[in-house]
This record gives sequence, C-alpha cells and structure tokens, in this order.
Amino acid sequence: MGTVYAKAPEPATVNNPPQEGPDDIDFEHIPVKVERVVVEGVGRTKDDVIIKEVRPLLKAETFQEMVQKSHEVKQRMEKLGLFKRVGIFIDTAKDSANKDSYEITFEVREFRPISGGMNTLIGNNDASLLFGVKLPNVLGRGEKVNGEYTHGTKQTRGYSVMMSKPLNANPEILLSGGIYQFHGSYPWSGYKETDRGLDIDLTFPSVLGMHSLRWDGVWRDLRSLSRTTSFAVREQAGHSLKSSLKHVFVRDMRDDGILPSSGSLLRLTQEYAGLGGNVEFSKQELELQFNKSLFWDTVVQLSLAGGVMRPLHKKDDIRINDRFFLGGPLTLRGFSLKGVGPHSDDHPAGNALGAEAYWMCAAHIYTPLPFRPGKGGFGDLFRTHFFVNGGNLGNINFNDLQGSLKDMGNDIRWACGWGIVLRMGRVARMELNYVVPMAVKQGDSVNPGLQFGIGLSFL
Amino acid sequence: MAGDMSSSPLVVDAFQAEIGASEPWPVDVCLYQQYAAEQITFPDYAHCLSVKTFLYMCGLDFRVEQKTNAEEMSPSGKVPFIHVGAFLVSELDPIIAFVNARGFNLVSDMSDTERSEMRAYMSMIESILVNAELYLAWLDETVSTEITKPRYGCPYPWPLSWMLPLRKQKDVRARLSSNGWKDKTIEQVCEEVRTCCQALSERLDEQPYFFGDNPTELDALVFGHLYTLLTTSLPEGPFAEIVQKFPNLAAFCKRIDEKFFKQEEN
Amino acid sequence: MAKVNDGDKMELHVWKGDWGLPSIDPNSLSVLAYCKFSGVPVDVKVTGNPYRSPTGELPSLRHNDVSETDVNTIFTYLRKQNWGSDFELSAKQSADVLAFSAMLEEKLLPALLHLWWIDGKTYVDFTRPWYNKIMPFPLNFFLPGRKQKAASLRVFLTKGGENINNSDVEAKIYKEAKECLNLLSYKLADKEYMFGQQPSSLDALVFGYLAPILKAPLPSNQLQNHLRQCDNLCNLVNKILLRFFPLSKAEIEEKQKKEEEARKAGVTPEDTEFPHKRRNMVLAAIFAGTAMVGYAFMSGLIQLRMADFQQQEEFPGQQKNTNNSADSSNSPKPPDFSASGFDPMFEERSNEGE
Repeated sequence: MGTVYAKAPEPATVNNPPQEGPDDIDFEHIPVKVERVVVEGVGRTKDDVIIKEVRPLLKAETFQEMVQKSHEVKQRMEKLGLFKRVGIFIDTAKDSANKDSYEITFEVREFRPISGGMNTLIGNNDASLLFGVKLPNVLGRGEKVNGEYTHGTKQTRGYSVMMSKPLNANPEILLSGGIYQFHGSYPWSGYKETDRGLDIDLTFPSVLGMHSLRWDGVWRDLRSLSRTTSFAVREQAGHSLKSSLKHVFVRDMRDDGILPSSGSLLRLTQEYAGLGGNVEFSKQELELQFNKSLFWDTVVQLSLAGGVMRPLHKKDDIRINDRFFLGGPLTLRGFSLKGVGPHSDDHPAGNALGAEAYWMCAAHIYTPLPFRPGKGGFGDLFRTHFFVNGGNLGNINFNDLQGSLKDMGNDIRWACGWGIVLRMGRVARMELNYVVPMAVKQGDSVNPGLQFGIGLSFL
Repeated sequence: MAGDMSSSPLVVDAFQAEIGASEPWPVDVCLYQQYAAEQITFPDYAHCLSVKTFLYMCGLDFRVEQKTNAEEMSPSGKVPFIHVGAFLVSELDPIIAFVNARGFNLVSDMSDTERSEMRAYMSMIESILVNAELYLAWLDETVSTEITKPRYGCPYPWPLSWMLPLRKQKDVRARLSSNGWKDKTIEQVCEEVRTCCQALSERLDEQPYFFGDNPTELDALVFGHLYTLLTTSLPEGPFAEIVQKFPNLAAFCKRIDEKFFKQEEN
Repeated sequence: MAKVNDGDKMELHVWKGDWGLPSIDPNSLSVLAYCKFSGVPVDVKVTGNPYRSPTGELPSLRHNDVSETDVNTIFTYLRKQNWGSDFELSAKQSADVLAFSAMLEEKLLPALLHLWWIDGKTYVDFTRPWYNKIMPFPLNFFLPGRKQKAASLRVFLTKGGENINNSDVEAKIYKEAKECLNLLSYKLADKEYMFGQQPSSLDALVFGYLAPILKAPLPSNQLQNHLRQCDNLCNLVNKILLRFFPLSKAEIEEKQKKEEEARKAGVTPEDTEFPHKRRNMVLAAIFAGTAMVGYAFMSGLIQLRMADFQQQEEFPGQQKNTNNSADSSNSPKPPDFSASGFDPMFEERSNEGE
C-alpha cells in the first residue's frame, strides 16, 4: 500500500487516488481502522488542544471517510492559529497485524514564539505606519498577545496591547481583551481626542451569524483642534468616561467582502452606554446589502444603512464624539468627509456637529473594466461602477416622532456618478469617482466632480 | 518705543481664539470658570476673582458661566476666559490688553514710570503669590489630599475622579520644580509670601489704591489673590495669618469687596 | 562697614566671561556687580566647572563655612553681613526692588533662556560650542544638554499651557521680554541709576540680565535689536562695565592680540578653538571601536540564541522515524522531522477508544 499525501487545499484528494492502486477501487467501501495518529513538530502547543481536534479521525471507517476527515482536521488545525503549516501523511500501521490498520501523521510547524513587523495601514482617508509585536500561542492553547504602535498622518498616534484566547479550544469562540491608547484629530469637527481604554470582547457564532459582545471602558480627552474651532465644539472639550456594552450581529452571505457578486449582508449594531461613567446613551445601527449578478459579469448592489441614538435622560446631550456623521467619498459620495448635516454657523467653514440619527442608501452597478484588460489577473482587482447614493442626517425629536421622520425623509441629499473601484487586499478599497451632487441643503459641504476615497467601510 | 507695549496685535496672541466677526462691547459677554462652590481650586479662584474685579472696575457688564470643563475649553488651558462677541480671551494680562484695545483703560492718566512700576508689582504677584498658592494647594500634603484633589476631581466619575487630580498634581509639581519652588519648605514659602506682602504694604501705604485714588489692574490682581487667601478656609492656613498681619492690605481687600462686589449684588 | 580679616575672606565662584564681560551668566554678573558696587572684598574665581564651587552651582559665594548659591540669597547674606548698596533706599524703593526683580525673572528670564538654549540654531552654533570650550573634559559632554533641558522645562512649563503650542509660547515670551525692556527703560528714565545717583541691587540685576543680551554675538538676537533702541539701558550697562569692571592691562593686551591673530589668520585657528582636538579624536575612535565590537558581539549573541532555539524547536527530544524513506520523498519537508513528546500518550488513549 502506498501513502496518500493530502495536499491542501483541495478536498478532492479522493479524486487523486494513489498511483499504485487500480483506478476502479471503491474507496467508499474499503474498510479502515485508524490505529494511531501521530502529530509531529509540536512544541509549545498543549496536547489536549490537538487531541480534541484529531479525535474524530479515530472514528473513520472507510478509506474515503478517513481522507475526508484528515483534511477537515487539517483545516481546523490551521484555523487554530497555532501552526504555520500542517501536512498529512497516511500510512499503514507498520507493527500491526491487521491489514486495514492505518497510521495518520500530521506534520505541523508552529509559529515562532515571537514575531514582529512593520506595516502600512490604510484607514478611512488616512494612512499610518504600524509597528507590531505578536506572540501567538503564549500558553499553548492559542492564547495570543499582540502589541501594536501606530503612527499616522494627521497626528494619529496609538498603541494597544491585546490578548485573545479561544474558548474551549474552539477558534470560532474567541475571548479577547486589551488596553489601548489612541490619539487622533478630527478636522471636520475641529477637535482632537485622546482615548485611553480597556475592552473585553467575546465573539461567537450562532446558527444565524456571528455575534460579538463587547464591553468598552474608555476615558476620552477631547480638545479643540485650533484657535478657529467653533464655540459649539469647544464647549464639549474635556474629559468623559464611557462604559458601554455593544452587541454586533453580522450575517454575511456574500462571496466577497470588497467586490461581491452575490449574496447579502446584514449587520445590526446596538450599543448601550451608561454602565458607570458619565456618558449615557443607547445607539442602534443597521446595515443591509444585496448583490445580484447579471449578464456579462455585471453586478447590481443595493445597500441601506441607518442609525439612531438617544440619551438615557431626556435633558442630557449626546457628545460630539458619540454622534453620527454623514458624507464622504466612500459613503455619501459627492459630499466632503462628514460634510452633511448640522454645522456650526459661526465660521465660514463651520465644524460638523453631527446628529442623532441618519439613514443612507446606495445603488451600484459594477462592471469589469471596458475591454477587460488584465482579465483573470490584475484587471480583476478593478471595477467600474455607476451609482446613485442618498441619505440624510438629523436629530429626532421623540415627542414628535412623525414630524421628525418626515423631516428625515424630506431633506434628502443625493448624488450620482461613476468611477473606478480598486480592491486593496481583503479589507480595503479605493475609489476614484466623478460625482454630481443632485440635492444639497444649506450648510452642507459638497465635493462635486472628481472625488477620491480610500477606506475600510463603504456603502 | 513707547508704542510697543500698548499696540499688541490682538489676533496673534496665543491666549485668544477668534471665532467670527467683532463688535464694540456686546451685551452677552460671558466669563467662564469652574463651579465656585464645589469644584474650583483656590489658585484658580484667585485668578477668576482678579479678572472679575478688573472687569467691574472698568464698569463692563458680563455674566459668569460655570462649567465643569472650563479649564479644557479655555484657549490657553487656564481659567478664566471671556467670550466677547467673536473673541475668546483667557487669563488676566491678555484680557487687560483686549479690554484696553476696546477703549476701556484704567491707567490712561498714569505716567510711564508709574505704569512700569505697576507692571513690576503685577509680576511680583505672579512670581510669588501664584507660585505660593500652587505650592500650598498641590504640594502641601494635607491641603492637597483634603481639599484640592477632592475638589478638582469632584465633577468626574470614578476612576477619573482620582486620576485627573493626580495628573494635575504632577503637572503642577513639574512646573514648580522647573522654577525652583518645589524644593522650598513651607516656611520658606511663607517667608516669600511675607516679603511679598511687606512690599505690597509699603507700596500701598495709606492710599485707597496702589496708585492714588483710582483703581488700576494691579488693585484688581492684588485683591483677587489676597482676598482669596484671606477667605479660603484650609486645614493649614498660614497665608491668611500672614496677610492679616498687614492691616492696610486687609482693609484694602475689605474696601474693594464692599465697593465692587457688595454693590454689584444689590 | 564690616572689617575683614584674612580668615573670613569671601570667595566667589562665577562662570567665565567673554566678549569683554567679566562673566556671561546673568546671575554671576549680578552678584559680581553687587559686590563691586559696595566694594565687598571678595576673591573672585572664574571657572568653567560648576563642580569647583562648594555648592556645585554657579555663582556661589563662600564665607567662612557658609555657602550660598542663589542670587537673592547671596544678596540677603551680604546684606546681613552689612555689605550692601541698598541701605540708602527708602522702604518703598526696597519694595520696588523686589517688584522689579520679580519682573526680570518673570518676563525677561524666559526669553533669555529661550534665546540661549532653546533656539535651535543658537544652541547648536553658539551656546553649546562655547560651553564645550570652557567646561573641562567629561563635563562638556553632558552639562550643556542638562542645562538646555532645565531651560526648556522652565520656559515651557511656566509659560505654556495645555492648549497652546510651543510657537505660541515663543511669541508670548518675546513679546513679554520686549515689553519688560520698555518698562525698565521707563523706570530708569534719564536717571544715573535706577534709584538716583547710587547703584542699587536692582541695577546689579538689570546689568546681569542686559549685559549678555547686549554683548554676546549670538547668531540671531531679536532682544539685542530691541535693547539697542533703549538708549538709557544701553548706557547703564556700558557705564557699569566701564566704571566697575575696567579691563586690566593684561586683558587689554590679550584682547588686542587675539584680534590681531584673528585678523591675520582670517579664521580663528582650530587649535586654540578646540585645545583638546587630538585627545577627543582618540577618544572618539575608541568609542566608535567599542560600539562596533559591542554591536557585533550583541548581534552574534542573538544569532547564537536564535539558532539554539530553532534547533530545539525542530528536534525536541529523541528522534523517531515514522515514515519509511520512500514515502518521505513525496514530502516537501526534510524527512527527519519527527518526534513529539505527546504521541505515546495519545497512542494509549486511542487504544482505550478501541
């Protein structure tokens, strides 16, 4: 008998039977007994984690089942984040009398105990340099420690130390926590802020989708950015302590996060601030996206997003650093970054003040580049798109809900245009668009014509 | 040469923030400070009192707005600051310059020599009394633990209520360390205060105000600080006794209090 | 006036002078002037090494077993010993002295510190080389830096604030300093000295602060330009220099000689500018060599450890061949990857499962 070397990632090992064997062997019915599983190259990783993963292999009864299961185990082990590489060898058990006995060997290569790196990061219209130190698998069960320092344009500074641990050795249930400090400036609103905080985050799957439950305790020090900062923003300078519980539910059925061609996305976010501290509000947000493939690789995408927040006590105001903002080259195209909605009026270029509710929607038609240069390779990173997007940002008066909602529906800002989208890695995208704002309200800061945007979140 | 000191351009001053168009002396002038009853520390209170006295002396109307975050709002990070139409001006010296530029001047008929003496005495208050107040409020163990830190932290929830006072204390300590005050003993600080009061007392003599019959900004500044020292009740109050030893200064404080504050209240 | 025996001779340590000044440090100058005004029989020791003084700081006055170092305390001490120039002053004038000295410290000193120590170009091109030259060897490596740090803290902590940036502070301190010069000028008016015909301690202080501004050839000196417009203050400084610090014959000769040399050489010869050039070069070479060897050693050490570690990682414990050699040729990895401490235990368990 020969050896099957299961090569990642095709699960089709079954279709490539060992060469020595005749083609008509019915793998589904060859009885096997897995005598022994050997895992080689284990250093720091604790045995129980691996035993838990490989145990199902012992139950394999047919050859196909054995191969299939080996592959599943390999994938699960890769997901643990403990090993750089996982290889499989299947062999007959040498010292066994039974002819059907097999021995499965996993060759694993653990990550180095410590690794460092330097990356450039693209945020929403901001670039920064990131220095990181990573300790994967500190205690042998996938406990990860991650230290980072970011140094960005626009005076962005930050560092963080995060620890995470899969619960029950299940990489999908992740408990993480960390401390961080972040300093950033927000020129559209004329303030800068230093955040220092700690958070605890539990991510777990359910039948419907992924959940994340996060507690965040953060001390925020807000200051005026310059002497020209409006008084309305300056009034909010000072220290605040937010202790909030946030639940995010994501059901992502799309085939791709950046340029999907089919599937839908639902993201529900709820935040409750007021477990101690002096920031008290509750906030709900919703995001929906549908994608449908048409002829010639054309994709239609419809998106809708909205959010509302209210203070826990009626007389309280929600601070500027908690409010919603709207506008920008990846969300409400045709408007400046955070350019929609209430602005301070005491200065020619007033500061965006934000508001307590917003909605926006967008319809895109994505097509490949004309004449499809670089098809199947570099060209697939690009799309042209035509879009219409609109939305509104305003405050909701809960005593006159109907009137407020009517206002939100009446003062729509919208714009349309076309442009080129470039996918950057798995998380970010870049857009260059020509936009025509169609409906603008007084105080809005518009950006007609060419608009360039780069970022992680988009609509 | 003579023009140099009075013609300080307004907008280049670091202690102002321009936020719009200008008017002569609008009705809704507002002075910002922390909450006087619960929050403000006595060195800050002295500064606020000086500015208020100065504005009263000029006969200018304003209202006092108490904000827990007045310090962070201020363009210079120090209280008090005034919001006049388009401008924000903080601290006494820039406020004096601003008010002078609007045509209200307490010292227009003083000679150059007198004016230079007045500025010198104002510097003396700044370099002695202000540092001594900071020393007592933040570096003296008893006063800082019992009075200053709880007051400074009172508007914030835990743990900011102890972190922010500690941070402030660290800042004050660094500041007093840089000019040599941190290494003084409380006796030496008292001696400094006594010398300062001695000089003020000599200068005041038996006049109603430091420079004759009319109040000047020096009077406002001295009143702000001495009145604060006299009236603040502290677990350790060596400064009040020192000021009391100079009857003409104590009488001066009483006089100004009655003239500008008791009248305002009525 | 007190009588001075040989036993209680006073000793005054001050910073070295230059550009026709007996010292370049405002405090040293003030104390020197104060002593000269009242004819204190003091033995002046000019030095570039603050640790030569009994207190480790300059200026420093030693009398019998008392050492004082701060300008004000030195003045107070001298006054207590009945040496002083302020005895003629009225109580009110004494109060004025206190007020004006506070003003000098509050308004003029920050700008002076900024001018010498914080202004980048002046510090690198002028202040640091000058102090490097006059300080003895190891001190000149760290003392200028330490003085700079102290100056920077002093200026930005006392004059700055949380919401203002450094350039605002700079604008403010220079504005205040110029205003202070004006006020001093008003106070002096056309009198001989601040309080009439006799010099006082205030004159000593003013002289101490202004003389370096006026005489030091700093690359940029906005205060000097401003001070030059205040004729009466310039006159006061020059008058005190002429009357109380006349150059000795030797000094005049030396000055002339220096000027002549400078004229001849066009550029000041480097040897006189940097007397320890060769020694410094040798030291620099030693330092560089040590650093390089140290670095090599360090990086070698790290490599060594890394190799060790990897070996441990890849070959932990005993080796055990699980594949026959024919199979391993399929493997992309070297064949003798093997062995883990845990498989025997697992074997046991798998047996249990059967």
